[in-house]
Amino acid sequence: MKNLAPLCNLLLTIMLSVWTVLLWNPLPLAALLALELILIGYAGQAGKLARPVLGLSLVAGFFAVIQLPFDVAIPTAIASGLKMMVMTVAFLLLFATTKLPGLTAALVKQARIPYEYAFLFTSALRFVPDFLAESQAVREAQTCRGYVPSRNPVKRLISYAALVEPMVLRAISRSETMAMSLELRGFGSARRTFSQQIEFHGRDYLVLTLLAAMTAVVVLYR
Amino acid sequence: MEINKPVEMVQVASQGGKYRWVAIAALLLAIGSIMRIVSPSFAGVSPNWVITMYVITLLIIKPNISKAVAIGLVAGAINTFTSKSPLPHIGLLSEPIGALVCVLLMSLPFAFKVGPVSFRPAVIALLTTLASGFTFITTFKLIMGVPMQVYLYGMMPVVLFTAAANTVLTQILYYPARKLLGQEDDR
Amino acid sequence: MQAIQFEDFSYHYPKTGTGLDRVSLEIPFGSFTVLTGANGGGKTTLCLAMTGLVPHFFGGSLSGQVLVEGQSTAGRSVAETAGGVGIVMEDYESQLVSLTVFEEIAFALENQGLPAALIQTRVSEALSAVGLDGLEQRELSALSGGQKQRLAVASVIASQPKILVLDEPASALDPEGAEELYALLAKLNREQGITVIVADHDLARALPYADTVIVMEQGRVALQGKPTDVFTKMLTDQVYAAAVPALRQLKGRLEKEHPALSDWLNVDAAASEINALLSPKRRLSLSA
Repeated sequence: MKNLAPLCNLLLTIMLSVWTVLLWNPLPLAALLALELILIGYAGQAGKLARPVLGLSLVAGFFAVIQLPFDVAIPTAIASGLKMMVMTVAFLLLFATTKLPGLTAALVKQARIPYEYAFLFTSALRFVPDFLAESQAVREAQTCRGYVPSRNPVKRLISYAALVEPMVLRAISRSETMAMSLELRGFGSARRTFSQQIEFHGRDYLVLTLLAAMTAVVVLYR
Repeated sequence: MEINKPVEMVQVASQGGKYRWVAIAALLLAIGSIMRIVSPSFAGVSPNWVITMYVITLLIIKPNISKAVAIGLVAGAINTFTSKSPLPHIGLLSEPIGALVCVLLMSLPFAFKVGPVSFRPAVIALLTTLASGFTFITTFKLIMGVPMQVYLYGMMPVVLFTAAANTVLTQILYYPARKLLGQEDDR
Repeated sequence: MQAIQFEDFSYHYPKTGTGLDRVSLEIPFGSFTVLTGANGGGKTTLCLAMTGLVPHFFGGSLSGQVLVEGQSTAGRSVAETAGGVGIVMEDYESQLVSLTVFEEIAFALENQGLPAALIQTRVSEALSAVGLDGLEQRELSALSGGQKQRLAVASVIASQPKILVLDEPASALDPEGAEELYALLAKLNREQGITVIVADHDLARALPYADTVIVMEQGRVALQGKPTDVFTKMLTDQVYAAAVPALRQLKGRLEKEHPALSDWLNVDAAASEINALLSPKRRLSLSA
């Protein structure tokens, strides 16, 4: 998938979800899951994704089991656990194999999403590590002040909101500098180009054909 | 030199607001997604910080309907990317619907005032979270075939409690943010 | 034509009403200018006025004009002015908006519509100019504070502006980091001929490089000129005198007895001249 065009990867992920919604039989669902695991291995992401996939299978297994007391047939319960797995792993696979700048460029140039919103997505992710560090500082400040949690959850929620407030206010002040930076660097210009390689090649068209064929099979024989 | 002569000043309109909305939305959505990860739960109830933050964003930037829905879609996409919970991408449907409800409520001429205090942020957060939450669990039920009892007694209460928590958070966090921006009263 | 020219420029922010008061300045091409003054004296506003953000971004009222490369900022968009003058703001971290180093530097170039191949070249040139060679694919979150600032500089010079403005660039750096940053700015000034303007409340750091000092006070230009002259004036007229580098304060006192000392650009130069003045018996070992 690393050698495919970003939009092709996105379509693969979407189609995996669509097939999963349509299918109710454990066997084809298990086959889809196996396909995803093979793709993960093929992309060399097995080490990185092993833990999230394992954690997810526990959640999915639990989800399948808790349905049994409610007169749900065993195959249906297994199918729903598998559905959860297949759909979520599809997105893990997408984000592990497709670089975001390429995906953004594809969404804007090929899927015609307005650039402002694609930019909003990546720039929000850009600030996630910053705020993660800031929230740790908040938590440490809380411990330092000898914060004793109230027994009343509503009071606890209110005092927690007071801890988050400075972070929100700092974000508002930082937004001024960020807005100036956008203005200075010609954000919103109609002339924009992208330096990412996103064009479709032969292998992408091959994958698209396979996706279409597979969809036909799923719709006809589910 | 006529140093003491007062200078004629020309007024210039601000154009800085053009992309301030992108900056505010990006930073607040980033906070929403990290709080989703680090926030404790309160008597078993975890607030949905992503919804809280896009409601505050929309209240501040007052977008039109299509921009609001697009911001909801981005919030759902960020959630898909950062959340480790199962099926986070249902957010790609439930958050745009939440944002749509939010922006429609904002256009209504109600102040929701009790005495001098306006509970408009609280009411909007409550209904937005309910709309998003019910969309989420209903879609989840349709895709996964969850039994009705689990839907009614397992999932619905979670939505109700989350909505209550979001109501409190949004009411507390919105006014300081607005004050910092020097915005006037909404209506 | 000057790089930057303020012609009797006054400006008031819409909300507070404060800003700049009848500023007249000329900053020639190729110069290295330090802008100093107490907090609230108008340093940041002056920097923003050089980019057109004041008045376009903030609105407000103004008189007079600012010319950047001979063009009035009033008649051009902020992005147009930014083609000639780049700015690194005090909160440079909020200026960075991309996930990777490459994307960050390419951002303005892509907005300008440059072809991909040219962007590649410009990005690697800008990175090597600031000493971050080969870090194109690095994520921003993996950079140190100092590296992020260099990235902010790189993302600005990639558009090849003739003028570079930095607002309090050393405020978040340790002394070594600040020294390295100034050395980098001096290199850009010397080798690429970029006109550098730095706002800094600490003059000692800029002393070895600056050829012009501007002192702001309450929105006005209190003093401007060659460092030596400005420092003398700061001491005699007591204008923001505490900010005069310790070395210059010492020189100011010595000059009452020994006029015509040379320009002390660093501690070594000062030490050798002091030693020469002292009688051989009392010579000190002052070299740093």
